[in-house]
Amino acid sequence: MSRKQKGPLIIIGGREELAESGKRIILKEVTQCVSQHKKGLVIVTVATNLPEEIGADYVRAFMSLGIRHVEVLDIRTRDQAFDADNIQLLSDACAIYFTGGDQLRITSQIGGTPLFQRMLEIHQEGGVIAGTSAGAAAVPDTMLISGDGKESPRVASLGMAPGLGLLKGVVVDSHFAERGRLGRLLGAVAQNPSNLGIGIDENTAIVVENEQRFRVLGSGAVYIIDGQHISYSSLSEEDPQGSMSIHGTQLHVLTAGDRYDLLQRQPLPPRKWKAAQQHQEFTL
Amino acid sequence: MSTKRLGKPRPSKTKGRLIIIGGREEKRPDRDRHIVEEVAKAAHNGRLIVLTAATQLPEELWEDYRKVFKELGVKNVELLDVRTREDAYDPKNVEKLTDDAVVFFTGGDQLRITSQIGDSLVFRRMRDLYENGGVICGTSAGAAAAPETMLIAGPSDESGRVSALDMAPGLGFIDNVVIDSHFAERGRMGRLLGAVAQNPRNLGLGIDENTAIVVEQNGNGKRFRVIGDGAVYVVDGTHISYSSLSDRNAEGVLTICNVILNVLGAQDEYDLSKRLALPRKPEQRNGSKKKSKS
Repeated sequence: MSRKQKGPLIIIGGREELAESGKRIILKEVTQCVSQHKKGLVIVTVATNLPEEIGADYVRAFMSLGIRHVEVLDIRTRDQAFDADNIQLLSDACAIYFTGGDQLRITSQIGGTPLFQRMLEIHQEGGVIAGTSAGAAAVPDTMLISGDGKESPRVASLGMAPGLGLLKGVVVDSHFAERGRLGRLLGAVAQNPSNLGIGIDENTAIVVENEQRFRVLGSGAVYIIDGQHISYSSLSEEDPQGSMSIHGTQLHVLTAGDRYDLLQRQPLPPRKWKAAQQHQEFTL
Repeated sequence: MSTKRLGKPRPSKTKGRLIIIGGREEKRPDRDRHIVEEVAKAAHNGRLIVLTAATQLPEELWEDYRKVFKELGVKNVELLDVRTREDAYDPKNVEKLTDDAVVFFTGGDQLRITSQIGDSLVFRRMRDLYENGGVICGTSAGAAAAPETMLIAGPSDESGRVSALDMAPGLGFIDNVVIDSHFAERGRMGRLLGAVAQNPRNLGLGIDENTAIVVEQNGNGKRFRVIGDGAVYVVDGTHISYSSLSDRNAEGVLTICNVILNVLGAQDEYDLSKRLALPRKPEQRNGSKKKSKS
């Protein structure tokens, strides 16, 4: 195994700008990572039912940003994730981009396959793994798969499943403010407050470096729900339909340019991280 | 986490009670309708005055509420139909607010409430009733109008922006809070966080639909308990360590670090002067639903 540092994770809240008329800050970030390695980008459409259309949209967008080698890895069934040609497609890749769709399709079709093993190697060798919407939700150890938006947390309505395991100790939700998902993320954190809840708005992303810290980019906000100081939760005693009580959650709202230390569980707004940078604690 | 207040709130010794509802309270007789029952209970020995100042559809709303409260055994249910400031000074309307009257503000537009009745004779009479132990209820716009500062506009389903928020002076029945209704249903966390960040002296209270808080005097401060089907979000900005409110352009989304968020369910209590959430009492944890069905 290579001794290189693992590559970054770019976790996107969905609906990132693709059109040339927009600023495309998130796609440019991915492009920058790819151009550092002078290798290719592979769009993984396993999550979606519209692989051709969505794959083509991303290929067009990244080509127009100057990436020469953009391939679509169109996995629809599990046996395709054992197919040597598909694994070969990843041989010259330094970046993987999971599109949106259904996160359970990602994990059920590629989890534990040689194809996924190869993706892990790319990440370990310094390659970037990006995921948007369902592709974002699938990144952590545990992923949220269902739960109503626009509703306060209820025990019965939450579905969780094992994710890709690329980032430990967090649960990620996308389309966050747009779909009113605070309730379900609070519920997920209350189930086990050792997981930090990260809710990402549309056209907004976090870039996780070294599994230790991240910075925010894009036009919306990133909500951090830290449950380590929860003083009371009714999770275990309530009838499953009732509205949950969760007292003493800590909440941070971060926006473009802000950083967060995952190990210390500390936000670093611009002023603070500049000070920290001077002490050379952070080299992002 | 315990959240100690840094400053002491102004002591308030009002004897009255507030029932503040997040909108769309259940009215159908075949369902659990805890909230309208709570209002009816408060009005049991007196009159219930339904004030429709907020709405453009006073007749329809009045008919709905009249029917519900009659069903629940309130003997005197009356309409106070204030559409203009003139109405709010009309002695006939002021006289409806007898000593035993409980006032219920319907939903609609909170700015219609304050602009039409603010400081009028009707309002002064209501404030006197409240200070002497009366009960004031409000749902949706009627809930938002209760504090000294009210949220009047701001987009739902997006994160807080500096430019997007509109606040206005409210009725002042309760100090140091900002109230938002239809909370989870309309994705209003962003705008309530923005309102709290503007001045963290105000505690943000986000109330879901078919959910209410009953605010009562408790010693020198106030305390509330939650009733109904949804949750009440308490956004406590006392310990905010950083907010970008003053140093970003107006279109920018707000950074706010270290907000304490409490999500309260039915029967939970909250001490407003200590800013402390209190879990429901053990005897209420099981069977609270059964009990309230009776």
